[in-house]
Amino acid sequence: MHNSLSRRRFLTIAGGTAVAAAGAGLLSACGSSSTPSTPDGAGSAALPDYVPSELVRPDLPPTAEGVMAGYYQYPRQLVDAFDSKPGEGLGDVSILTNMFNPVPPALGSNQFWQELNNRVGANLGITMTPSADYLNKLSTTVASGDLPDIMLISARLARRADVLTRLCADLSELIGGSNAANFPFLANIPRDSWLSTAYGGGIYAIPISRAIVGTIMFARTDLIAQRGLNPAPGSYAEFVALAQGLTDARNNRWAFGSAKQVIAYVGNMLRVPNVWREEGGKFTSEMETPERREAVARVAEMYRAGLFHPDAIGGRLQLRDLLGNGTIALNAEGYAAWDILADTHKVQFGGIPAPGYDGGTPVHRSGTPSFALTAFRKTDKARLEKLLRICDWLAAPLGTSEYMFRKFGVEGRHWNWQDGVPVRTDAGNVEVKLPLEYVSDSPHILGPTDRARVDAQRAYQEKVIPNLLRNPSEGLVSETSVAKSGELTKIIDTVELDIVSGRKPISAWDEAVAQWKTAGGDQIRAEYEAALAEQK
Amino acid sequence: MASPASAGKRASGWQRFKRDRFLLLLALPGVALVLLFQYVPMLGNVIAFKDYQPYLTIAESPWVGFANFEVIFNGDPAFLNALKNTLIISFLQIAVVFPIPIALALLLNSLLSEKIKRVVQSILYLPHFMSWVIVVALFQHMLGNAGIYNNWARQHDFPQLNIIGDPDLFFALITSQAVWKDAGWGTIIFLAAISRVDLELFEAVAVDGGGRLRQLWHVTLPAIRSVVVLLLILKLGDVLTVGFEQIVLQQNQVGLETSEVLDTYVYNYGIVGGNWGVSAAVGLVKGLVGAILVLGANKVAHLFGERGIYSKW
Amino acid sequence: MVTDTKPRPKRSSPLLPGVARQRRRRTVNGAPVPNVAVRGIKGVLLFLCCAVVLLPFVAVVSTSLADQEQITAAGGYVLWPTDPSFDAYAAIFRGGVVTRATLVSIGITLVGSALSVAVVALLAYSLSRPGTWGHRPILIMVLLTMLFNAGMIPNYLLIKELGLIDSYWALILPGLTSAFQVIIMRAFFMEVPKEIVDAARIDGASELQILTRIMLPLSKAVIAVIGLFNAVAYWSAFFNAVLYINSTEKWPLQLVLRTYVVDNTQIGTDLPGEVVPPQQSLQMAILVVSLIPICMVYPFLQRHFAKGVVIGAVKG
Repeated sequence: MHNSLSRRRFLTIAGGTAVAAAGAGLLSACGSSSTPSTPDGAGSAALPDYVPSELVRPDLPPTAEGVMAGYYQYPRQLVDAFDSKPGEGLGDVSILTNMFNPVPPALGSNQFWQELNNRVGANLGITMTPSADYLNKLSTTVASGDLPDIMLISARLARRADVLTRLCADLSELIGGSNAANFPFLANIPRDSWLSTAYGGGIYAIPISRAIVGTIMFARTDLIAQRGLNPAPGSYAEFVALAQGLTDARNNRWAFGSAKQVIAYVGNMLRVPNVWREEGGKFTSEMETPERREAVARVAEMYRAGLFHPDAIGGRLQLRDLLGNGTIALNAEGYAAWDILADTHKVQFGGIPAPGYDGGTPVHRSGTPSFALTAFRKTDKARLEKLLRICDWLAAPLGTSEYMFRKFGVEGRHWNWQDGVPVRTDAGNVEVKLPLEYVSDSPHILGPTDRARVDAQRAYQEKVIPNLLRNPSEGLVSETSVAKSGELTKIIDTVELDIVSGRKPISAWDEAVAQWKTAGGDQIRAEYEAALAEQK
Repeated sequence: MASPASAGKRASGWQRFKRDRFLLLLALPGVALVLLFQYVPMLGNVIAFKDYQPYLTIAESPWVGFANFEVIFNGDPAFLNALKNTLIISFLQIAVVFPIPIALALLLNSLLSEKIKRVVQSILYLPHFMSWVIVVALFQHMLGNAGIYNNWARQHDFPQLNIIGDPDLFFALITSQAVWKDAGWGTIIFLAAISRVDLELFEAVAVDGGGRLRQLWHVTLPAIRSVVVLLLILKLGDVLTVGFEQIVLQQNQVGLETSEVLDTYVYNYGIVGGNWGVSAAVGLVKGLVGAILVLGANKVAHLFGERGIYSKW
Repeated sequence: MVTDTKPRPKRSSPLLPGVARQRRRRTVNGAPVPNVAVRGIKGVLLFLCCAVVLLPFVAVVSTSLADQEQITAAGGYVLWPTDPSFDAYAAIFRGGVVTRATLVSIGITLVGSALSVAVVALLAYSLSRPGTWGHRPILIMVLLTMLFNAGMIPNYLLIKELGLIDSYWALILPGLTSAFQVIIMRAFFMEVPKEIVDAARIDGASELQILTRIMLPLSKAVIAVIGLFNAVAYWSAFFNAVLYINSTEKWPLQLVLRTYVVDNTQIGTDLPGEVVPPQQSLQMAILVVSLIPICMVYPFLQRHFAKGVVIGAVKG
């Protein structure tokens, strides 16, 4: 089965490389921890070794620090990553996942789905649920005790650790440490993404990986140029000057449309911790730092100066449209929005890295490295291995025939080459909408799209990734942080908006933080410290 | 054979059962469905007293006594504030939102042209089918601080109307949204009640020389009185439940002092964190309060000679 | 209709001293025509109501016909489409998924509403006779379901135990009874003059005959209303389908349309990697599509509750 893989050379990166930049001992501790073996004598709980796939060379290779790979165009010479059907002999495979797309036609009238089953060698029974309702669907499924073979475990599922360790299969024997090489495309997923899959000596899921770059402050670079403003502010003061230059209230133009992300952005200037700061086993919450408080105060000043859209406080604004039509000029969003914005609106966008507050070095808060986890029902090892093989197949990267099939379908029926770009046909637009990327997927990449955009995206990442600040609690379990997330988030979100809008003075911040601590913040801290101590 | 209603009072239980067996048979499908699809799952509310997690069965989950009720009885000032807002909004619902469909139904009923009546009615009930997300977005698009009016006003030096985002106007805003969305839909039941009025009664008043006001007072209103009283009593069962989605969508604009209500308060403590026990506990308390109010109001209605939900006998 | 020819029982009203019908003023629907001023005020009032309701709807329809450029220029909602296009509607109906789901929804709505009206009417009728054995406990039992609800998980477990997962019945059966509807219908039944019922009984009519020949014809209005309530409830329901229906080909329309609508004001900041369809026009088109069938059904039901009933006509 693996002879097609043996042709390839694997570049093995030692366990801790990717995280060395974070300077946090905890992450490498994860990789080398040797907890007692599982009852059936399986190996240690080492996370899968990161082995970037070299099957297809990107125009811009990914870096160990987390800069995404970039492609200027679609490779025309497709490689077959597999020479056998990954799920041959599995029969029916039930899958539960969420979706963000319009629902595709059912198996009987969906040639893409039929061909998928043919290529995988199994009957994939995919139950898909609109993302907004997925948590409910998952909770009832878990409660019924009748689990599907493969299921997406939402990041917000309460008692996720219990559900994974009690009900789901331990994968460590199959993909832990160097065994990951048996699943080359799962091994192609960066370590950051795997952190949240390990619990007490086992690996209970594979991650739906997301790039570490996280949120970007998008700007209308054309408006900035048009008004002769400085597109690369070097300090907080220069950034405010930029925002002021972009605001023209009389003509219904403002700098920002939402306060929350601007607070995080100013926080980057002030080197606010990414959720938590860990020093010598002690955790400090970002909420407790004076820098975080100051970030709120600064944004309140900007609000008073009239730099925000008048409905920015809690309004239901179509921020992307407002950015597209120039009503607002700056808006922070997830990195994937770059392409959406640029494809939707025929204007110029760019990312503005946060400067140091006084011109020094800022931080760049990392994103959450996984969207959710894919877990498996407990079953025998042979079946589990094949299920993982299907996930490996679904994670084949750009340049493989498997990738082109799962993203675009069958050439001729679902898509055609047009100027070097695969363009979907009507049938492709309808049928190729199975939410496979929420079962297993290769890491996100930049492009393939026009060179200037890829270069701009890459340049942005190369600028911010050296200042990347990871969240030290990533991969540590705190039940309180899930159970109390609603309450704790609300305390902070509310007081931030109260202060920014001027409803309350900045002193309200201290009360809210005290409330935050007693409502669960202190307990989360204790749980993280205990979890970290246990790992060491 | 005498009418069962009058003769039945003295009959023994068994005799009455035998006498009414056919009527009871008619009730059987409904009763069976209610028991199976409402009461059987209601047994699951036992998790109000448990630390229930979906990966355990209900039976396996540990008992926690009244711990899940703490969120209601802990005397948290934020809870008391939420309760206060809930009651204010409920009061507005009953005092302002409730009567408007009645007035509208009477107005529609007084129209002479059957055609206009139907067209108007068809238009007015449309907003009922819009989700709150869209209603809120539309209100903001029209009346927001950067809505159509205010943008125009800003450019032409007209005074700004800060309606959305002003905490003092929050109750007025959500009340008018509720009226906008559901007033037309609410007329349906009252129109049905009015339609039952024997046309001969109208004619009789007319023949008697009575004007339209007299018709309204002596024929139409008495005809819908019992339905109005009934709906009012049922409405009381909901006093602790005010439009969750509508409010949660607009909370951040005005802050929690004015906008936090019971359901939004509980939401973050129970539902978001997957705390099923708390959700069930809150449901039970709200149900209990609702039951006391509904049954109490029913008694009061009897004192005023109204039939209410069920008659005294 | 009823064979009974007993004299119509007198309804007590202080205003009805058995007036002879001699003088007639100009009347419509038995009501005298009011003066011009009153009619003017009413007209203006209703016109304003309609305008306030219709304006946002014009925006909804216009936005559904607008392209991205117009929407971007308008910042979300277009008030009047300059260059209408039906692309959004074409996108919704491409591939047949929506068409199929529409048929599913129509089926569920028809079967569900018909059964529901029947069950509710039977229950309401049997409870509408004071003195019936057990009517009060049953009524209170029904009433309590309005106040106490079961959670999502116990409901799911029940449906699963009944073997109804992935069955259309899982979408129909749980919604058949509604306490609110039973109580409303019962109240309307109770307004039917007791004398008519008693008279029929004396003539030897069975309970079923009384229900079908007296109660139902006299209660067309409330049956239309309850039918409408049920139709709307079945038509707009999606959440039970999320939980109970795994096969997408059995999804009702509202759930299918829900997959087109993603609240990108929330997604954008929360989930960095999720790509969502940005078209506001699509979302508005969906709203329009889901409204159309309701708009079509309504006039048929409206006939029954917009017009009066002549009770006298029933006694034949």
